[in-house]
Amino acid sequence: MMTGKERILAAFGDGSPEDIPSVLNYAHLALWRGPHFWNDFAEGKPWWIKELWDIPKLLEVEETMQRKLGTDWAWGADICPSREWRKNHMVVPTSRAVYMRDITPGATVWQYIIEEPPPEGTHATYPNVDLSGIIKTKEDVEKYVYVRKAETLIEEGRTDWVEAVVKKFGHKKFILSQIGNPLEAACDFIGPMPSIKLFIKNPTLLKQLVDRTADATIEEIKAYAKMGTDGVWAWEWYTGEIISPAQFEAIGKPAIQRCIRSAQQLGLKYIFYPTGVGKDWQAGLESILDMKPDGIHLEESKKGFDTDLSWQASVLKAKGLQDEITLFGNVDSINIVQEGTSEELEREVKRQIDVGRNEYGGRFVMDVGSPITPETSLERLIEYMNLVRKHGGKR
Amino acid sequence: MRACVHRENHKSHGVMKVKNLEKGETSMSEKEIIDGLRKAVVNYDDEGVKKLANEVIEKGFDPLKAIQEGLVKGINEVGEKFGAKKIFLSELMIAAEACLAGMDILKPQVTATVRANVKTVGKVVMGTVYGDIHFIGKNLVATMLEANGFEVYDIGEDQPVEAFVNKAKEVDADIVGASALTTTTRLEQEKLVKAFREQGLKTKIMIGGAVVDDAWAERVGADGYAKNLQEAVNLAKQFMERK
Repeated sequence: MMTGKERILAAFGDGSPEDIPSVLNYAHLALWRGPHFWNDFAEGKPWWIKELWDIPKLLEVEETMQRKLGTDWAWGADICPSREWRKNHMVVPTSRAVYMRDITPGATVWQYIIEEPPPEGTHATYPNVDLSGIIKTKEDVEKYVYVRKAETLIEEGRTDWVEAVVKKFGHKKFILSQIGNPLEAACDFIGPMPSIKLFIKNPTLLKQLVDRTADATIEEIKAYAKMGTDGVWAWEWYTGEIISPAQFEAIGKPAIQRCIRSAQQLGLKYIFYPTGVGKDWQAGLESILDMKPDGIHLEESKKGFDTDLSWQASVLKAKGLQDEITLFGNVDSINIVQEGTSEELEREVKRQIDVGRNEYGGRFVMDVGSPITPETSLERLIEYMNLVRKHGGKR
Repeated sequence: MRACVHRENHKSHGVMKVKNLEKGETSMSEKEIIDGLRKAVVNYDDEGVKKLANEVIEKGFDPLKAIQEGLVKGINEVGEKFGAKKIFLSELMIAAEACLAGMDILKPQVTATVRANVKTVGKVVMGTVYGDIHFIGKNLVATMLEANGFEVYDIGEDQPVEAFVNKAKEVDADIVGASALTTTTRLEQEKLVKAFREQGLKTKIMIGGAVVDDAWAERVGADGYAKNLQEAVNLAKQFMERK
């Protein structure tokens, strides 16, 4: 019986693929950030342990989630707040509100209210700041875009959560960490709108910025590798209808290519998740594939773009990449997992496994296209996982 | 075009303007300037738009005509190209910015009399729902609606239902546009519709975002769903025509 880790590694070509691995991307979005799934997995622990980064307690939640769902990877072994930050923060629940208290000597803001996520859950956010007026030259880029060295990340305890997850689950689960893809990371520094405008207004500056964020990403990758992570997940939203394939090729590709090579040299699998990429952006997809990430995952077909899995398999095969790049499934998380009947769910799981195994040749990991919705029940997720095991088991 | 030295007396909305053109200066006709505005928007040339918009004022041409036949025509052309997937969001955003830059210059020149005679197409409150911080689509729809004569009140992102309701009441909105981009936040659209209905507000509600469709709009009881920018404008116009 293969472990989850072995299943995924086999799907990446490191072994003989027998069972189709089954995973859930962005598990933390719905599972950790909304009370519905939190209650399923936390077994009475208060929600604010997430805010505090209480590592021992969070590991218990993760363990319950792994036991109940049985996915083949442990998602989100990511960089966390520093050890110093965790030491200097405490939560004070009162009848009126829950306060986060900063006990750092001399802290300017020493207490603020934190709120429980709404029933529908929250999602990852990015800072919506506009530094376009500040970052105008290459010198500004170097001054403001700070590259924290891998050694520093580790010394400061920012990799403590990664280390804990690897220690607890690393022997049986594929440990996956998220990185900021260079283009996407540019948003963090000058805001999404200004950065999109730079593609036309000042591509040279944008390229300098993206090169710099790639340097920061590479340090994260090095830190993850030192901690024993198995792979990195790179989300990119400067794709699809946002920019043209030519803009991606000129500005994003060189920096992303460096990140991919860096991960691969350190033995990590690089899974690329570009959003909005469908048949209309095939030239861009081919540009992405030319970089040879270890895995490619496209969202399910949605408004305005078609990402049919058979089409994906055909594009990869036409480029002769079926023995180099692992394809990820994209079961529709709303229309099939949440809304579909049991028959529809089974039909789609079976169809995608058939595409992955027979049309594509076996380098395939079953996944949903987008984060699981808060309206989806735990029972439904278990049903989905069981169907993958049923149809994706040994031939 | 001809080089000339002359005095121009243009009566524009009750304002007499006099312009001396130096010898050798080329004078563009109103038609040429307005078409230049359209082309500048289509070519993402915000500096060009600003220059021509200022020229409209300097020469005493009709600012409203310049907006409607220059800027709006241009941004609608760009919107259609985007809808047809001939251009990308980065280009659309720059064009929208150029259009707004021109609006900023020309709008204040449209006199109160003219404004009074030009009926606002309708009032729209736009926002992204609670828990969702995506704004690109919402901003672009707001821009397109504004360019098409709607009075738009953009309440921003991550907005609770009450914020939509309060703003709609405050401005007596005809339409509310609520955007949701993630699978985890679209439920807020359902809450929004429910709140408007419970309070007996007649405001039309249109929804948009990558994770919603006609079926979702129907399910939550929204008045309509717009797949893209052009559809959003058309839907808003339809709402107003049916009023």
